[in-house]
Amino acid sequence: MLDRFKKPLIIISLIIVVILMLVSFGGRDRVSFIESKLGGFFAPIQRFFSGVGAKIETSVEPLFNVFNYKRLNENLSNENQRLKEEIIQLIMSKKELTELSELKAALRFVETDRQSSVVSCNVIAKDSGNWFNVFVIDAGRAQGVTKNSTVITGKGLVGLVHEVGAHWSKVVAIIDQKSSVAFEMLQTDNDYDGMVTGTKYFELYGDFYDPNATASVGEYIVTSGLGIYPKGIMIGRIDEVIEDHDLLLKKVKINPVVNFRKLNKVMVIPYKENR
Amino acid sequence: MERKIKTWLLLIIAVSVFILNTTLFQLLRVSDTLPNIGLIIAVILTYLFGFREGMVFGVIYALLIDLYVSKFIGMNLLIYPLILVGVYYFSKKFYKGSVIAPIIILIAMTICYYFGYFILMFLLQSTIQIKDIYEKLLIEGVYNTVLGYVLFYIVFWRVQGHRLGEHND
Repeated sequence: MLDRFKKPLIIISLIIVVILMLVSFGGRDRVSFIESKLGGFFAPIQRFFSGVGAKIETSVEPLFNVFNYKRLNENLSNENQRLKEEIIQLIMSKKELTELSELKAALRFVETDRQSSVVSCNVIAKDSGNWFNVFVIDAGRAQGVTKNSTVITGKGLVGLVHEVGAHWSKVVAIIDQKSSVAFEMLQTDNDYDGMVTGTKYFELYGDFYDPNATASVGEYIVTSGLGIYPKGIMIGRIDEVIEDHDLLLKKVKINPVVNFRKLNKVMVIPYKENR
Repeated sequence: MERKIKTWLLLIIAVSVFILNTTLFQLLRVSDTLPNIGLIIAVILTYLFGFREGMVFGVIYALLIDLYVSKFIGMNLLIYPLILVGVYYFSKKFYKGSVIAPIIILIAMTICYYFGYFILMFLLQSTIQIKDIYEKLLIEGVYNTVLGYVLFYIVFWRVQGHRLGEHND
C-alpha cells in the first residue's frame, strides 16, 4: 500500500524542492516565521561555540606562526615606512578638506549622515561548505537590519545582508564568487572605476570600465557608491596588475583589507531605498 | 543485522552536527577547505545502520544548512538524498567489513556532490568554472576520504564489535 504512494511522493518532494530553490534564489525579502524562530533558538548556542572556536584559534595561532615572525616583522617595517609617507600626504589633504568644508558650509549643503544607525554585532556561524562565503550574524529585523544592508568592520567592506530573521541575518561576503562591488581608486589624481568580484581563495579581482585606466600595486580601492553599497568604504589594496590583451582590459588582483578568515565582530549599515 | 536509531536521536545528532559544523569545526579548515562532515556522517549512517537512518539525518542536516548558511534553499536538500540512495544500493552489493568499500564510497560521494553542485549552478545560470571545481574537488576529496575513513573505522568497530577488515578471510 505504502509502495503505491512512494513514486508520487518522491516526484512531489522533488517538485517542492525545485520550487523552493527558484523562490529562494537571490535571497528572500522575508524568511518564514518558523525559520526566524528556529534561527533565534540556534543563535545563542552558535554564539557560544563561535566564541570557543575564536578562543582556541587565538591560543593556537602563535604556535603556527612562529616561523613567520621574521617575514611578518619585515612586512610591518615596510608598511610603517609606507604609512609615514601617507601621513604626510594626508596632512596635505586635510588642509584642502578644511577649505572645502568651509565652502560647503557657505553653500548650505544638507548633511546626510548614514553612519548614525550602524548596528554592531557578532558573527555566530559560518558556511560549512567550500563554495559560498555566507555567514550568520546575531542581529536581525529587531535591531533594524534590512535585506541589502551593508556589512563592514573597522577596516573595510565585508558584504551584504542576504536574508533577515527576527534576531539573526544571513550575510554574503564580497569574496563570494558571485558577489560584485562597484569600486573606484582612492587616489585623488586617479578617478578610474570598475567592478570587483570574489574568487574561491579569499581574493578579489577587479575590472576597470575604461580600457585606458591606470593602476599600480599598493594603491587602495574603495566603494564607488554605484549600486547598493554606500560610497567610500575601503575594499582592499591592489596586489597585482594584470594586462588582458585579448579583451584590451586591465584587471587587478586585490587583497581585501578585511581578514575574512578571522571575522568575529562586524557592523551593519541598514539599507535605505533612497540613500 | 542493522541497528536502528530512533528518529528523535537522529534529529539531535543532525542539529548538533549543524551547530558544530558552522561554528567550532571551522577550525578544521585546511587550505581554505572544510571537509563535508554532514555528508560523511549521512553516508556512514546509511552504510552501517540503514537507509532510513541516513536519509532522516541527511534531509534534516541538508535542510538546516540550506536554510541558515546557504544562498538559496534546495541545493543540499536535492543532492544529499540522491547520494544516499546511491550509497544504499552500493551497500547492498558490498560486504560491510570491506576495507576498500568505504574509500570508494567516500571518493564517489565527494565527486557526486561536486557534480550535482555544478549541474545545479549551471541550471540556475550561475555557472562555476570547471577548473575551480577540479582544484577544490581534489583537496576536499582527500580530506573527506581521510577523515571519513577514520570515522567509519571507529563507528564500524563500535557497531560490529570487530575491526574493519578483520573478517575478510
